[in-house]
Amino acid sequence: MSKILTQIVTQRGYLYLLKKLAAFMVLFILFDFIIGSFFRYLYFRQTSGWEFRTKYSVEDTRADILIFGASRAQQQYNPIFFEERLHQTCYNVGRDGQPIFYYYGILNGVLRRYSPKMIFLDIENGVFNSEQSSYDRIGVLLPFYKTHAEMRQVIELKSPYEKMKLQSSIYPFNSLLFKIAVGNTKFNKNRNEDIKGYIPLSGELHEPIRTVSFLNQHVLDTNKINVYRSFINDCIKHHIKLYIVCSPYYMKTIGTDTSISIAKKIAHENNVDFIDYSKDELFLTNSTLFDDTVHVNVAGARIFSNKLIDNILVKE
Amino acid sequence: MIFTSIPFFLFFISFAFLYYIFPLRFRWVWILASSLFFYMYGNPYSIIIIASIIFVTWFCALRMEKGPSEKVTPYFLFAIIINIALLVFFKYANFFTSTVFDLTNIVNTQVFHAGAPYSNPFILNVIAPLGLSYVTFQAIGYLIEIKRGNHKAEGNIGYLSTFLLFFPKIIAGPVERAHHILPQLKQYKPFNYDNISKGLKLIIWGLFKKLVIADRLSIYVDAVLDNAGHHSGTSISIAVIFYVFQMYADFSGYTDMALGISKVLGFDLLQNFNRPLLAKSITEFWRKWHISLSTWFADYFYTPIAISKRDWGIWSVVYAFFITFITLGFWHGANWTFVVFGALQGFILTIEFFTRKARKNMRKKIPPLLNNIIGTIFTVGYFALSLIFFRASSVKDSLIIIRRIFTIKGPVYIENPTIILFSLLGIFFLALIELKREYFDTLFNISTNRHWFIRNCYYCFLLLAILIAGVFDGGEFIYFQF
Amino acid sequence: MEKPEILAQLNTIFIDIADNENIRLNEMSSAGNVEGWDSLTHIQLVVAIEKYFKIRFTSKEIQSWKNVGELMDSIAAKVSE
Repeated sequence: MSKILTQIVTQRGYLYLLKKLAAFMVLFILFDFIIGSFFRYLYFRQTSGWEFRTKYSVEDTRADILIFGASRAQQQYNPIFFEERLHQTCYNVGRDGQPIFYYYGILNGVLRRYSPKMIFLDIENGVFNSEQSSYDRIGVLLPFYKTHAEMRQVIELKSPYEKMKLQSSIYPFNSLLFKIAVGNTKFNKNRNEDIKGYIPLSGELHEPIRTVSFLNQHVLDTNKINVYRSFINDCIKHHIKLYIVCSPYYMKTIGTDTSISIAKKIAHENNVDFIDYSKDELFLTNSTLFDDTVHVNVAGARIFSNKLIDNILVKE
Repeated sequence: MIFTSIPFFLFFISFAFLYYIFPLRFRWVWILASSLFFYMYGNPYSIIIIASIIFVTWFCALRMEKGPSEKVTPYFLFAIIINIALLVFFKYANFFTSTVFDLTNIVNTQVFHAGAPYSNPFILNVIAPLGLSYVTFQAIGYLIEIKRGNHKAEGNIGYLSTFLLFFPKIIAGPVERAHHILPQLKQYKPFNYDNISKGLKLIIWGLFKKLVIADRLSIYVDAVLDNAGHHSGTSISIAVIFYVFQMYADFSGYTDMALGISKVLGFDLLQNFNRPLLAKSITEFWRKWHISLSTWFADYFYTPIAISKRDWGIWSVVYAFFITFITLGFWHGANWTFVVFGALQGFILTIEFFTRKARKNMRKKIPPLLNNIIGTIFTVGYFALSLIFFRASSVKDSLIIIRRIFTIKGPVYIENPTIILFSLLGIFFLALIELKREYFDTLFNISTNRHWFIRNCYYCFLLLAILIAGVFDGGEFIYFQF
Repeated sequence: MEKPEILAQLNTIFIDIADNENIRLNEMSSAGNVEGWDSLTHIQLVVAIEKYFKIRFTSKEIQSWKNVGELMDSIAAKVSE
């Protein structure tokens, strides 16, 4: 014991270490705060790019119709047709590669401000599959953690340590340095055509149709299924007309994807329309409507969007 | 628990804190207990295999020393065979069964199964215990040293276990020597501010290399090399060069963390990297890359082989090169690609060995700066070429990649400019630091500046860079749709 | 054979094999502090020494030397046999 006491009081003992560490921490926290605040400022004044689209979805859009989903929303639903034929404003909040957590996070951000009249939720094969990457990708919502309490629940799903990491002011903007910088310029606007959130694909597929088997079961993620239920419940609570859609594929299937069956079942339980185009003959027989096997191109998007609107008009 | 994870961070903080409260005499017990916890975290059962290795090694070493002299060799062989047999079984069982399986080519799948990985029904799903080869190598080294009469056997199995299980080095080395660690374990290690400060700095530098440089580079490398069939020769060349830096930053970063963690506890581990990418030949490269492993192979593998065949003259060296490097390659994993990787090293070392006098004379005629530049480009280039085999999943794939580099013209693949920019910045910074340390070590001292503020700003900068540009998870990705 | 004589001979052999004119061996010289003496040249050195002194070492002897002093002890012992 006496040895330890000597160590504490000697010049380069525990106290000295604590003092040095504390000084270092102060320096570090100060820098972190200054740089983090600068990033925050830049992030929220972007005018283009992917991060801008997310920020616009959460904080700015007031469209009557919103389209949720991943790339199969973003690249397949053209809001122009929805606006023309349904006489309402429309924005596509889909984002490439994003899982259901993202859709629900955005929905929370939107619902804090207003209730849209109609929502389309695009659901794809394997939407409930258990994948670590789905949790990693919640990362794009981190910038909203500080100012959007309603989105925290989804963001905290990312990992058990997220709250700890979010103590840093820089962390929410990790890896975004160049993207935010470019988002503040006009560069992106000349790069991608962005039609109210819809990004057209120009390719044309020329290959024979292949067969995919869904007989092998994937492990499902209950968090994802719960988030899906919450998405439906929140829409019902806010009196939003919700359509859940499975858009076209260019592939023959053996069996049905488990995620899609479950999504369908839950939709029916809640009296929500589930519209399935995955086995639509027009698309299965026309590879030229596709950019690749899971995304329709511009021409395909025109036909698909209008087909969907026809369907809605009949139902109403 | 990998060093870059938050659970490890929490584990280490609490461990180190209690370590310095523990009575000096029993600190090794605390290290052993924590190492056991670290080892069993996640997969508690593989400790049984490691424990048997430790027991056999400890017991046989003691018998070799204390028993009658005619029993030395049997005990030695028994311990070595147990060590090697377990290593071979766990590392290579899958390889041998799958090779037989591939040759017979029984199953041919027609239907692509969505999401289900294609699985080989005949593979024994053997999962090697964490750090098995490191433990085995260190145990073998210990046994050989005792056999050669260079060191005494350790009587206390606790010390021996602590040496073999020491958690900072269990995942990725360095390959330690018993006589380097055991005396340190028995030494009293009082609290020492300098050790802790040096250790923490090494940890930060290692974290930076791993998270900011290596993991960033891996995004582009994976995107291109995992889909090499879709990329131009230019993109593949860039990815292959990136991969050299990724490997180096990843491995040396992890080693720096291991060294830093040990230093915080007052331990010195073996130096594992000495700026290998600035070596002027592959021979020199292997003296600077994964040093603890290459010296292990030199002492216990290469030298005995070369000595036993020394009547062959110069060919004994060539023979030993090939045997050593093919084994070293094969140790990296059960795949023919690693054998080719090893053979490529043996090949170039042989050539360098035969031309060394000629090269030395040539160097005298070239200005040193040019000489250094040529040497470094050659080293990185050749190592990059051999790493194509190291990384690819089969020899055939590697050859396809090499062919594409020379035949497929096309633009550089830039799906996400951010990743390229961060990657280039990372390589630039790494090169800057390495060049400074190699050639201008006494100039512009920032990390060791005598002003507290400048030193600390440097380490703040490294930590902030991790927050700004480190890869924390798959948050940033290149999304492929081929 | 006297130690200084052995040392002088060793020095000549080392200069030749390690291709380094500046080698000045003493009893404490080891692979760590002689440029050009490494695991590659080590074998050639052993072969050259065996040839010159007309002796034969065992593998165990070769691996036990820690410096030139111990190497010289081995040579002296073998030559006097």
